Amino acid sequence: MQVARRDFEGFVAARSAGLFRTALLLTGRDRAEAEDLLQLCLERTYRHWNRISGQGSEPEAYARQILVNAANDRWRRLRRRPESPLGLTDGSLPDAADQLANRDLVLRALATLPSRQRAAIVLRYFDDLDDTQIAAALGCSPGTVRTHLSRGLARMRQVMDDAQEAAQR
Amino acid sequence: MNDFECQISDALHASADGAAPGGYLTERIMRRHRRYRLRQAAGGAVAIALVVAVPLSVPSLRPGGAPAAPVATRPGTVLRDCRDQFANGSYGPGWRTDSLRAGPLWFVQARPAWVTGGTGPRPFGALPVLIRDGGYAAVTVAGPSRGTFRFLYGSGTTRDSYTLRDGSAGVTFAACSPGHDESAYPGYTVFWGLFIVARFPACVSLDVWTLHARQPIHVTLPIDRSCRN
Repeated sequence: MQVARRDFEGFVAARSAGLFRTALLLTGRDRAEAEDLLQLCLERTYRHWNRISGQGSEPEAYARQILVNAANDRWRRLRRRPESPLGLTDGSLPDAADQLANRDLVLRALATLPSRQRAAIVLRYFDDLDDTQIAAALGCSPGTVRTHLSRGLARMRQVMDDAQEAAQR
Repeated sequence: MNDFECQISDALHASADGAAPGGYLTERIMRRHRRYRLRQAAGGAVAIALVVAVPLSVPSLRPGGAPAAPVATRPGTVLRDCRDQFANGSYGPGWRTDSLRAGPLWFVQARPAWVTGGTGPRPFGALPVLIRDGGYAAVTVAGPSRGTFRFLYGSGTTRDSYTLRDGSAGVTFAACSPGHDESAYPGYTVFWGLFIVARFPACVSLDVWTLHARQPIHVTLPIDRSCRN
């Protein structure tokens, strides 16, 4: 038991920062929500630690599955509530620097996507996962992942183009 | 990656790189875990009280949060129970439309099955299963695919490459007890898993054995659209 606990603590030390960053992007950079998602995901991982930490297993992939699906569930709950403004939560809205403005635009566009498209985009372009790995995290086929990515990118491009046009007017 | 994809990747990295969770993370996880164990214990106590008060004839239908006790693992199969559930499966509201049903068990979106491929010596595909809470079903391969088709459920299903030896020829699924609160599909227990094949057949015949049944339910799993069911 102590050995399992030590192994798990090692896993938390090594992987929690990466999982937290993914959680941060999945929640639209809501730090409190991301912290909560991370704890939920790691607690559930700990429940099954003896089974998933064996040879040939990938506890990080398992933890990522939980994280992504918990984020999807959260998004589903939020959709049932009255609409609240999407966007950044840390007060770093439009900045003079183009780079910051562009980052803000990308995050706003990301926030308009349905949860599974958003998850696919984050896992591909932030976590650098391939179709098969994303499919395992989302619990769907690689073909569906490609559909999510393609629709997500198209939607983001549309939102960003519209925003830029509006800014130029 | 094209320019637009690079732009997205750069923006995501710039906005999240360097962020770190707050301190005492392990302690907070363990505190959460202790609360979970307390809830489990409370659920178990309620279950025991109900079992004492209202004796049930079918052991797998005991209420409460604890895993249902498996009635039996069918010979030639491996057991997958509540501890192996994939609590977060997400297949959309119309998941039944393309799913294959056999008694209490559904092979989710398996008409046709998801063929994943992979980089290893054996092709594989996704074959998630939903089974009614409290339910029990053993699945075995029937017919000519018996020697070339394997199941893989539980941990170790996120790799890129498999051999037939990684899987088993049959699986006994014992769902969680009714009332467990982890599933994304209330009333069902979700098992994430794969099939591994030596070569792709068009169809695979499966036998599904349910509790107390003398004869299995025969189902045909279409691997290819050419499979006529």
